[in-house]
Amino acid sequence: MRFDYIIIGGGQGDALLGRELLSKGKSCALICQGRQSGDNSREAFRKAGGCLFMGDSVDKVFYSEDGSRIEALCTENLGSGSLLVADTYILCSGRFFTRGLCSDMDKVYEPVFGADVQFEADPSLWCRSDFFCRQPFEDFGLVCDEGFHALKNGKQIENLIVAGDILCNGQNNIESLCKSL
Amino acid sequence: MKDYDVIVIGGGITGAGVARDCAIRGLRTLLVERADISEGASGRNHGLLHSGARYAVNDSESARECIKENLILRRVAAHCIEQTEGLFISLPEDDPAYRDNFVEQCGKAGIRTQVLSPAQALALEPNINPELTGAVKVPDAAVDPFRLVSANILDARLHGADILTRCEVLDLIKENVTVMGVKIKDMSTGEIRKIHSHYVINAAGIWGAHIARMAGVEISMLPSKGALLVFGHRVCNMVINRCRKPGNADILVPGEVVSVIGTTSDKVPFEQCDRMSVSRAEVELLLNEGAKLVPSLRNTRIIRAYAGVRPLVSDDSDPSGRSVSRGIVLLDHSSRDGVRGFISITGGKLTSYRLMAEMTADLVCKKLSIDKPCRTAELPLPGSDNAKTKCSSLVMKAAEKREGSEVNRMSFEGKGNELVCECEMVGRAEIEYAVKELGVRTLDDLRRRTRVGMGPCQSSCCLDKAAMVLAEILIAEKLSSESGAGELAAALKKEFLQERWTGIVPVCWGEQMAQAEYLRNKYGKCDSTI
Repeated sequence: MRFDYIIIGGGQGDALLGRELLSKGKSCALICQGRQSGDNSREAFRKAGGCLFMGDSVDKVFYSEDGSRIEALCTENLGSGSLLVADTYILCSGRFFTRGLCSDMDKVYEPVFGADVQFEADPSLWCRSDFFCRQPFEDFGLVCDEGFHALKNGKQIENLIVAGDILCNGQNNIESLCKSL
Repeated sequence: MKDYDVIVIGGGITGAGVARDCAIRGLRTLLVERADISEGASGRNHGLLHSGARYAVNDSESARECIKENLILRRVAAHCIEQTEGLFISLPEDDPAYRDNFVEQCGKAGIRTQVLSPAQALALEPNINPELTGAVKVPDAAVDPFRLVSANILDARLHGADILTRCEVLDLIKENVTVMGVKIKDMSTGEIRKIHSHYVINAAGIWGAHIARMAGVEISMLPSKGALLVFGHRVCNMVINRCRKPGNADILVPGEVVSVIGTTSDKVPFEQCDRMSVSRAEVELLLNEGAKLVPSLRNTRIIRAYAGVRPLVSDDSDPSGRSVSRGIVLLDHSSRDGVRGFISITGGKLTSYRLMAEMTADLVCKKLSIDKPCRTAELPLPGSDNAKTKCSSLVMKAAEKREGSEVNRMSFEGKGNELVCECEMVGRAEIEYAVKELGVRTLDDLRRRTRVGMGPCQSSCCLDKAAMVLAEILIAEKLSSESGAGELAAALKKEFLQERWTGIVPVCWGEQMAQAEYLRNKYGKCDSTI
């Protein structure tokens, strides 16, 4: 299956971004780990002609030889027999609660592409003792270049755009992406 | 005439047990606690009812005490105990000779054992380390320490004792060499008053050293920190111990819907005892050692870390203070220090609290020339009296599981059956009961009495509702100076969230970080309104 855009979603604003792309005449797929029914925004995306992969997740990523581009994806539900291909991939998978970011005892990582994450190296500094102040882990997130391209080992992935609150330092670029894409 | 025969200082399991025993024997009894009941080490342990097997090799006296008390508590505190049984497992690196000696010593202490092959042990507990070389089954059990303290407090009250929580002892009233009572400050109102008694009993755990100093006597105590981790579900149904010389993180206890691994043992300064926290290094140690008992712990969500302080007492016969007494320490300060009217009870274990209370009450009765025998080995605690109950709903059945026959005193009519905490199935009726009968004033008190917020969601789902229900009840019962339920609920919530956060910080990674983010998003930015 081929699309102009594939959104790896789960985070807030994934379907909003998808609908914006559809309204500009682009074809778009949204892969979303969540299983909740009655989600108005995602349902509206589907009704507007988007291809919604609900309750599915990216299983495998194929890169170009030099690693600078994503060639295709496979999902868990469709299996390795079906390749999903797009010109541009958008990572809008949210933060820890929606599994856009994962952590173990001493590191924070982005589980689908292994994109570069900015986080505090000393795990004892991830939280503050005061619950009601902003926590350091709330500023962890993806680093990217000026065009919101994801980086992997410091190198740009040309056709992977980072969107939403998965970005580091509390940034959220959904609104500006809706205008610029 | 004195106000009371005895004033017991400390609302942990020891103080609660002493107050109950004294009240049952007809003594006019007051218990004073500076915070809430079971706020110290009594609420910060494994929740293990020792069979005594752990002490069989090194401390036969404690082993015999434990098995005797274990069997008594199974009868008189049945509703606080889950009869899980326990396994002592041997791993390839453990000395097989230890196990043989262990079984022999258990036998001498009167602890029944059953030696199991690895296959037999795995059939009983499929999640234990499959590399085990053998196991021994012993009569360990899980006990809810909060409920045990609460039931003792309740029964003390039912026998006429007065209970004052949130009252700090500022000083002891002394005349020459006799302690005559206490000077206390009500922490809620700021009021200071003096209360007189024939005897003051120091059952303040690690803070007992401070109380003793007020009487002009010295108890050399060594605060020993024990850190523990709570996992998000039950990974085993029996208590799992390591069959070796007791060490760090070698006991895993299933408790209600979670599992607890512990503990460490580190000397800490007295200044730290009021604000215990667990470090990442301690978490790693507990996790690494715990995974040797049950490997799946590595992939199980840790929901909380906490620590208690053991009140270890230096042996009086050793002036260097290095030799520590692990058993029950009952100090008659009249014969020891020449100070009359003052007794300290410390050391011991959760499992031996009843015996500690019996020994203390025996001494007080002897001093007051009262000839009343101890009855706590026969009299069931409220909730364990086998009274018939009629529980139709799930909420009622859950309340019965926690409070036993006390469920008969809860009102499930109308709103009473309303579910508040889904993880632990706590309903409004149980909360009402906890406020009226068990002295609950804050959400943290409520957690200790009913387990609200202690399940896998750690209050992230039920907090709004629990806060509002508690606020409504406190206002209806005229137990709060606030008049608006919304404002009171917000204040209750804020205090509770901050306390819970302390336990989350050391284990904030993986699944728990996702939960922490959710908790912050839901409650972290709206601390003034509900």
